[in-house]
Amino acid sequence: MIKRTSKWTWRSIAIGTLFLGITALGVGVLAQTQLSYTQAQVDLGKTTYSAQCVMCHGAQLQGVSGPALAGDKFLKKWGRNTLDDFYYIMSTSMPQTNPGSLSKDQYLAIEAYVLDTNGFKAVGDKSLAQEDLKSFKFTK
Amino acid sequence: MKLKWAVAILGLSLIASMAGAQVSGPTQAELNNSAMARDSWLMYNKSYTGTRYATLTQINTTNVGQLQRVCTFATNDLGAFQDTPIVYKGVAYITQEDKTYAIDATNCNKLWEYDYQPSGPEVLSTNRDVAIYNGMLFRGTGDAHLLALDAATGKLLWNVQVQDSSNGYFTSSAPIVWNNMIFMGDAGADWGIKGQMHAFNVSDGSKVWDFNVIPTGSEAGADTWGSADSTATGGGSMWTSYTLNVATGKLYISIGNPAPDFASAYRPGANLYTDSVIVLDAKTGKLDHYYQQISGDNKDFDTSAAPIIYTLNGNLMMSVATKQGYLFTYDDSTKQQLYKVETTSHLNMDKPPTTEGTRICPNYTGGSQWSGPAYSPTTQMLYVNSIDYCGVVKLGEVRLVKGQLFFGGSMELDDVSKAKGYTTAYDAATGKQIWRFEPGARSPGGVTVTAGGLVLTSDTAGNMYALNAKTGAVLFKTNIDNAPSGGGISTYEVNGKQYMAIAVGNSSKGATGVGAVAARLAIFALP
Repeated sequence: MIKRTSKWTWRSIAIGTLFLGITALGVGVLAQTQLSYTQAQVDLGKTTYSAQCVMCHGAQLQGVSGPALAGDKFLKKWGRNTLDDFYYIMSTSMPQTNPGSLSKDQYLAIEAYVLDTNGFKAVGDKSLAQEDLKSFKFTK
Repeated sequence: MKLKWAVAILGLSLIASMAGAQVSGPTQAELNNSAMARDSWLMYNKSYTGTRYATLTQINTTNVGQLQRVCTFATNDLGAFQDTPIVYKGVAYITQEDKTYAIDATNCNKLWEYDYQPSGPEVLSTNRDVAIYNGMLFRGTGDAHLLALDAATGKLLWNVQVQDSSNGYFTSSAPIVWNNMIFMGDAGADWGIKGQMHAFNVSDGSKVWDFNVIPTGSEAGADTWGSADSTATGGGSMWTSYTLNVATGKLYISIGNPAPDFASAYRPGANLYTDSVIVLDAKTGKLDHYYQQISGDNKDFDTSAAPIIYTLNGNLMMSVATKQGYLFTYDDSTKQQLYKVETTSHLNMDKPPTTEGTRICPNYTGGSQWSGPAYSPTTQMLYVNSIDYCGVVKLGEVRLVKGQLFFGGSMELDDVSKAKGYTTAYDAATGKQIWRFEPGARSPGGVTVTAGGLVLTSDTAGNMYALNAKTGAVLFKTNIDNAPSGGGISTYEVNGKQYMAIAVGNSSKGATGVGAVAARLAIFALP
């Protein structure tokens, strides 16, 4: 029993070390891609949203004929998806009358506005960029 | 003063008694008589036949001009509202995304309200109303559940999960009930579901049978899917309501588009049973026969509005109007198509989408969406609402994000000012157009026709119309608070007085571009 315990202890140490290493690597990766968008993006997003999206999704992003883009219902629906998934769906299917008609910067700004309205509080110096989107999900 | 108090107390007592009263019907016999019933509107399309024909004559061509709004019940909910109010024993039942309401059908007093708390993500907010049977209401949900409520109180009786909404499934149809079974299908083709039709036991929601709308393996029709892998997300929604032949026990079901909507190369073949009307044995769920309207669709042209059945010159006919802007009529005795006539203009229907874009008429919000034909045995005409509205369809990346839209491209719509709505009358025997009315805005809502010689319709500018069923002449027009109408008009008698109840409000993505006005039920009658 003692030998076996020792054996498992060593195995545990080895596995634990490996886990810590992977975890440390993960933290490192996340540190390089901390979620960030600028206030200018939020402002542009709000302006663009008001012109292009508000009729179907509502002034409070609460959903009208289109689905909610803020609140529990939205987060329940999108929580498992990456920001890139959201960008893909939004930029290929919206605005409904003319999908894909907005610029990349406008779509990114709307995504920043949606994040900010949902309380992600990630206003910073670094703009939300398309290459960052796969690193994050709609989970707080 | 004493009299006023007495009247007030009496009124409150009546409301209280209605809210608490036990609702024991309708019985199966009452449902079987739904087409002829004068005191009720028991199903989304009035009756099992789906023809939306009311035998009432009190309001008719001679007096409809005097129609007045009796009352309005506003839900204060901006979500989609595509109901035709269900009415039984003087109570109207309406639904939106999570809410179900019971309203006095003569004065708009609310009797009760039920607010569903979903357990899964809600895919789409639209719900088209309840089925009613034996004191119970049955409805779907945005998270693909089926609920039973006590019709007297709104209390939840049972709740079963139909499918996993995190994969794009929801249940938006108005179900129908027959022989202790509730018929409800899956919606969500645009989200990449693999559709099934279902029957459930009214007593506890237990499953009676399933039918695979997207066949695989050894099932008949599986060979119409050139890529077996594509069937996993093959689509095939049921999202309006259902039709049943009580005499034969056959269930008629419209099946929506294949998915991904525009990238047909991903799913080569005819893609049965998408864009079809299938006919099942209602007791077993076994396929009897089918009619496909589009083979291998690449423009999101669902067959979605419920088909209708009627007898003409001794033959059983089946008619269905599609999003592609056609009215089809079949002789269901011989299984032969009798005619296919245009309900909208058409452009480039045979040209596939390209990455640069293909201009088409109609676009995917055109044609007939959730409202099918009405049929009058008096005039022997079919009345169809349709939308003439063009756009550009583009091929794009096929990428599945589970539970999200799965188009494989996109659809650009013309400016909404170019869209037209029509109410058109056709000779049911030949398909020949008899008359056409253009309301000036789109007309996605349901058409109702009465023995009083009236065709009742509405538009997205908030107008309600009564037309002469023989000529299309406008006999009555009113605007209901500029609330875009996507619902339908039910008509019924209470204590010998005929009423008309219309569902108006934000009418959904099928009427994109309209102002948002909260949903409301408006009731009309003669003074």
